Amino acid sequence: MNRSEIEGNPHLILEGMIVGAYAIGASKAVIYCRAEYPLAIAQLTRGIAQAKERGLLGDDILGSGFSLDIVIKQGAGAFVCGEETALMHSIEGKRGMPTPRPPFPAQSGVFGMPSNINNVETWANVPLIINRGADWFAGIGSEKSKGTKVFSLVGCVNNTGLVEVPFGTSLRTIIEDIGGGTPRGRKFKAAQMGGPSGGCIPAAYIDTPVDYESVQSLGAIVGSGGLVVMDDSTCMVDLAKYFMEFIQSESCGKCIPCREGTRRMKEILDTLTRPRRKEHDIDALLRMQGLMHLKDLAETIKSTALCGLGQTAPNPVLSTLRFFRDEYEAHLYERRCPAGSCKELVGAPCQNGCPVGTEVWRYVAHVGRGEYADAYRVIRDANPFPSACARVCHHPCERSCRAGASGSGEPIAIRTLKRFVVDQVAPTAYRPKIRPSGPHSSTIAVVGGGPAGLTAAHCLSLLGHKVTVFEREAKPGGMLVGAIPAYRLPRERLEAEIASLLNENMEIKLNAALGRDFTVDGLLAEGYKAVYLAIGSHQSKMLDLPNEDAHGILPGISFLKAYNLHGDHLAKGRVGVIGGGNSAMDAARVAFRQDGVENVTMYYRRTRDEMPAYAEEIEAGLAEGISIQELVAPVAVNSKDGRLTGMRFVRNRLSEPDASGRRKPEPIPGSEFEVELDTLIVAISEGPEMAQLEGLSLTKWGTLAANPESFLTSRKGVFAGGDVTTGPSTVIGAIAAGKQAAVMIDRFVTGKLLKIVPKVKLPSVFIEPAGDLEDESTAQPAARVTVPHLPVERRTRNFDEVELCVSEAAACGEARRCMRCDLEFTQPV
Amino acid sequence: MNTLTFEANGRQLEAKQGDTVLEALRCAGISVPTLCHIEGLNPTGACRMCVVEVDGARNLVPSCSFPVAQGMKIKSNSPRVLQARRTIIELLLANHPDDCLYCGRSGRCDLQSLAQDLGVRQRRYRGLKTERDQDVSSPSIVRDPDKCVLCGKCVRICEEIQGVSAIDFIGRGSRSFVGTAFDKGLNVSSCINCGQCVVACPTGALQERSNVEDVLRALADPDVFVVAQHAPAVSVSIAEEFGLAPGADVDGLMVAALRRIGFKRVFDTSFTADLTIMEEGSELAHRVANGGVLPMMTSCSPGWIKFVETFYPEFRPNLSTCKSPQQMMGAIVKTYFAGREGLDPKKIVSVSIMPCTAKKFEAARPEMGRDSAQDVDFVLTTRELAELFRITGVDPSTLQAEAADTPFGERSSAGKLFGATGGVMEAAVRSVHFLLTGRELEDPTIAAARGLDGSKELHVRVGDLEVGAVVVSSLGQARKLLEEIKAGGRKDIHFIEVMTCPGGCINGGGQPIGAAKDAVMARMKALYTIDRNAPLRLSHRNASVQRLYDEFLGKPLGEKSHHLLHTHYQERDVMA
Repeated sequence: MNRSEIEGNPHLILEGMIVGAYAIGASKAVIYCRAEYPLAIAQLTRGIAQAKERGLLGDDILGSGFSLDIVIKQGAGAFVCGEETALMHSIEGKRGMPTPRPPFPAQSGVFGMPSNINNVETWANVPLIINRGADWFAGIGSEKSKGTKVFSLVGCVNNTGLVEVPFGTSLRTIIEDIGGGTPRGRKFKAAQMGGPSGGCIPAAYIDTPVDYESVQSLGAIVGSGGLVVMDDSTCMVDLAKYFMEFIQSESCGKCIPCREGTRRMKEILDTLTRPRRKEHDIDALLRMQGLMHLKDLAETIKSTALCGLGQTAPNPVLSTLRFFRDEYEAHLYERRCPAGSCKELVGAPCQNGCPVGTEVWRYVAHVGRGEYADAYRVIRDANPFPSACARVCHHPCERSCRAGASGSGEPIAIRTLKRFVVDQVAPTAYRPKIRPSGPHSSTIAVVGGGPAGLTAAHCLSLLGHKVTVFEREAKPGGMLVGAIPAYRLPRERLEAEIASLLNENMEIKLNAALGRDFTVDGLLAEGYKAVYLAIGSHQSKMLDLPNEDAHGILPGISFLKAYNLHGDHLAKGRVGVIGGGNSAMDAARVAFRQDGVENVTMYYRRTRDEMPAYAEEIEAGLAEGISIQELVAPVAVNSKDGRLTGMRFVRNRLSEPDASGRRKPEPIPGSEFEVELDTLIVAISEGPEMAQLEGLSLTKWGTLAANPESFLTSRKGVFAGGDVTTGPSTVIGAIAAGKQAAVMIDRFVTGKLLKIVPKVKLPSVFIEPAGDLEDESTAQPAARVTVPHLPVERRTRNFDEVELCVSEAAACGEARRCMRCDLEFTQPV
Repeated sequence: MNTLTFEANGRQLEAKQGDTVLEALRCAGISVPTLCHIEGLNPTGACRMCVVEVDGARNLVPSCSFPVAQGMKIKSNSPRVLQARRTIIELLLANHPDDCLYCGRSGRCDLQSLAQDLGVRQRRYRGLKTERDQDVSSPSIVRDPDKCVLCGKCVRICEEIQGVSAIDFIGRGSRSFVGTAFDKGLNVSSCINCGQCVVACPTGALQERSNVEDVLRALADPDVFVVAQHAPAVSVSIAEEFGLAPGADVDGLMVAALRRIGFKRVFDTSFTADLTIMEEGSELAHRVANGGVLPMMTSCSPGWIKFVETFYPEFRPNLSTCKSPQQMMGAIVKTYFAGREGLDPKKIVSVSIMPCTAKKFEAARPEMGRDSAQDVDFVLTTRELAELFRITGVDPSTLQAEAADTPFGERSSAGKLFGATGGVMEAAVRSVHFLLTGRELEDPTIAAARGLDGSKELHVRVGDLEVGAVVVSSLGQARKLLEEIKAGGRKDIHFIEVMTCPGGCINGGGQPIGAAKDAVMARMKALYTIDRNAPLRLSHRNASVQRLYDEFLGKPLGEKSHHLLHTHYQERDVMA
């Protein structure tokens, strides 16, 4: 920051110093500048020469009798030389180490002379204040912090650079308005203010006015104006570690707490981010003990260190501990880095990002080598629904893919590659090993034939248990078949996949509804040793408006199920869909395909950017001719004779953000308008069907309560998972829930403790990279593969699969784009 | 002097205006631990052990550098303070080799005692320890960076007291360490081996290069004849190693103990101090009479000699050519004594016991020997002698005093005074006065040369000549004086006594660890008491010295003296 001021306008600083020297009666001034800033030094040298030429510097300035000499002292860049006493020793030609104060510089400073020491930015303000007056300056900024501040805005923000704002400007203004927000749609997580000695301000405080007091109250400092924006891919433990590494190598080494303490803090953080595999000696003990001592140590360093560097050195740890303790705990207890950043806990980020832990890097590598059957086996090992996920997964793997994490790179099209693999290999190619029945075998009931239930049942059946799945509908698949339309997930594919899961240990009873045909009590009484409830969230929430029972108003899930399961076309004429999630999008696109539908409009209360539906789905829907009205909310149902005639909406605007940092929509008074509709599909949210859950504890959100570790409900022997516990969520999330539940149910029926020690999964299989290895420095960036779609004119009125498969060449090319993060962990055999 | 009142731990106390909190608390009898504090030098505030809680201060305050103020409220042992101190010690221990049981400083280590005193009983912090190689390159000092707590005392002593700056901090952060220029061995550095750093070091990071094993081996060898000499300052300081009060003179007990552990002869270096006075006094008289290079500077302190050779080679002609008493003894033991006793000089192992680490370097100088053997084979410091006594299980305090051996056992108290700053001057003045005028001084006590001041001046009327003399101790003081002379000043001085260590040999780098200023003072007073009560107070009246001249040397500055008792100096080109 200071560099830009010196390089851009050295005269301003010189003028400020001359004025200051005159005011305090100084005869010698020193500018201490890093030798690594040659341009700054050249500019200053020029400025000083020019000032001397014009009699503004030197002996008897402007005939005033006042003389001042300004010299430049070039220092070797040392962080500690920002501390005033260290800086002064450096000017004296000594080692840049601080000395205790008192004596203060004003008493005994450079070469033992009384000295005044100020920052470049301060001096640069002096001429302006002298010229325009103190009142003018005091008029800028907040109550206690006057004037402006230059920030160096960097990190995960679209516009990086130097930013000058009045004190009191909110962090949001700086990051969102000036910085243009975080790139690639990632979520803003925290801002590190004040550099290594500062602290972080989490997203919840994004509306904090940036001034000395507010920033300090949050444990950060304004300092020299460093402002690093971090998104959700930044791990706060890693961040603290980075800063501690910096501090412990930049500490001057003089005082013990700073020199020894920061090093131990760094080591404690190291143990948190190191997997057990690499631990040696008593590392595990250190790790546990370390977190206990971390805070003590930080406090001691803070209160005993000699200089400002040491006293603020623990700040990054203290502030991340304050706001992100959960992340520390995840590293410590779960051996997991939630941000997917700590390499040694994460391994390959794609695998780490997958809820079922698919070795993504591994099958991608196989695709690159043309080994499609191997690729399929890798996928299938982790996931019983490769084909479904290849089509409808929200692919968190791609989000964590390192190819897309930096620069302008794009993540590997992982889901597209999976789709390619499942199109090459039939499900029957995979023959899972089934543990023979024995004394450990039990009979287990799984209620709900969706992805969670089928996965749990399949996994349990492989363990040798006899599993019966009870499915309410006439077809198994749950939401996969009931809600997701066939143009996204062709039915024959899904059926083949489900069929491949069945074996002699697993049977599915269709048309068997909990509450109607059987009860949990009954199942337990029948001798089932455990029951897994995975009945999903099928109850659409309604608008809570008068007349919403009018004919023509349909709950989203009922509408989808009516068509998907029974072929009923319920939409007619002008169709409105309320909601912005995937169900709303599916409903809109299914309605659009039904006979007698004129048009389909979606009504959403926030903006399109905030719609929870997958971006590619929204794109496809719009392409097909669906329109979206954003920032509107329904206020009344218009009906005639019990039949829907239209809706009354009000326009919304986004208000100031709430505690979660989300901007809440609020109605604009007088903006109401009417729309004529024949059908209204309400797809705002879904919940479990309460009636089926009688006798079991619920969460405050109305979902079924289950222990997050054991998945046990309030009833012994009864486990639960999937949407019934989480509310509407993702397919892969449900599959993961089923897998985890199977582990716990198996432990339960075999009498083991319902607890497993978390393990760090790191790539362990070496797969030779395919193709010619390019020289990294010269390789051209390869673009991400584009996925072909059925042309719009050939798809809008039918249920043919919209997304097509890429060619073999395209798939191999895409697979070879992979950066192979796994190679860092594996060795050629 | 203005006093002020302040409160410490709930008690109202008085302090001097301008005192630091540390001084004020210690005056009031409140102990505050320190690691880096050096009395008399500016505080550096490095160790943070002395932190206290001051009402109104956000952070803990380092008492060593913080001035006490009227009405100040201090807590010196609140839980927060104790926790901070303990954490600091724990952090140091976390980076310290756990080899106290093998460490030469065990039992005399500040880190060890602070850990004990603060009740550190648990290993809360662990991790990588800094590992650096020991520096065993110096004949005088062994540096073990692993044991260094980077308190910086050695660096400050070397720079601020001695003006040598052979060592400084290198590197930053947790990788910083104390080292020589370009991190080379101490032997090729500008180190002058004085060992003041060793005495200042709170841990075992700096220790003398031990010759105890060498001496034990020699004592156990039936084929060799082991001879000891002991320097004047040793007898008044070694008692502290055995729990006696500082200043106790155990000369006779020490002699007895040395005999018990197998030394065949025990000589007193004060004898050769008298001899030195004969030679050096004659040299001064000669220079004065013949327009030789003046001021003449003493040459008995080997640190000082190396200092001149290194930093001020242009002053080499000013140095007296006399060897130090140690080397004079070494030379006559292997010549005159060997001949007298009919011993093969090669079979004599000459051991000197010195308050000094630089003496080890001096004994090893190539010019300090003959027939490819050194005159002095091994030098033990006072500390090493105490260790030798402990190893062999000889407790001097249980013995009866014995006298040193002839022919080098007789000494004047003037020779004994060599142990303190001003002592050489005092002895020299007594004898030079006689040599030049043929008359004795009325009062041999030269008060102006006495005391612990770093720089003392005296003018003595010797016949027609007003002799100007300056006594300095510590090389910082010496450097100041040399700079003055270099700048053309001080034409009035004829003779300069320089002792390397502040206060002289009584505060030498080989002396017992942990001596406060009071202890050094007590050692000095002990020498003065010996002098006051001595029947023989003049070097030139030492009959044994005269006999040596008669039987062997001839006359001062004569041919034999020239070969045996005088030396020359070399310029040293080191990275300084």
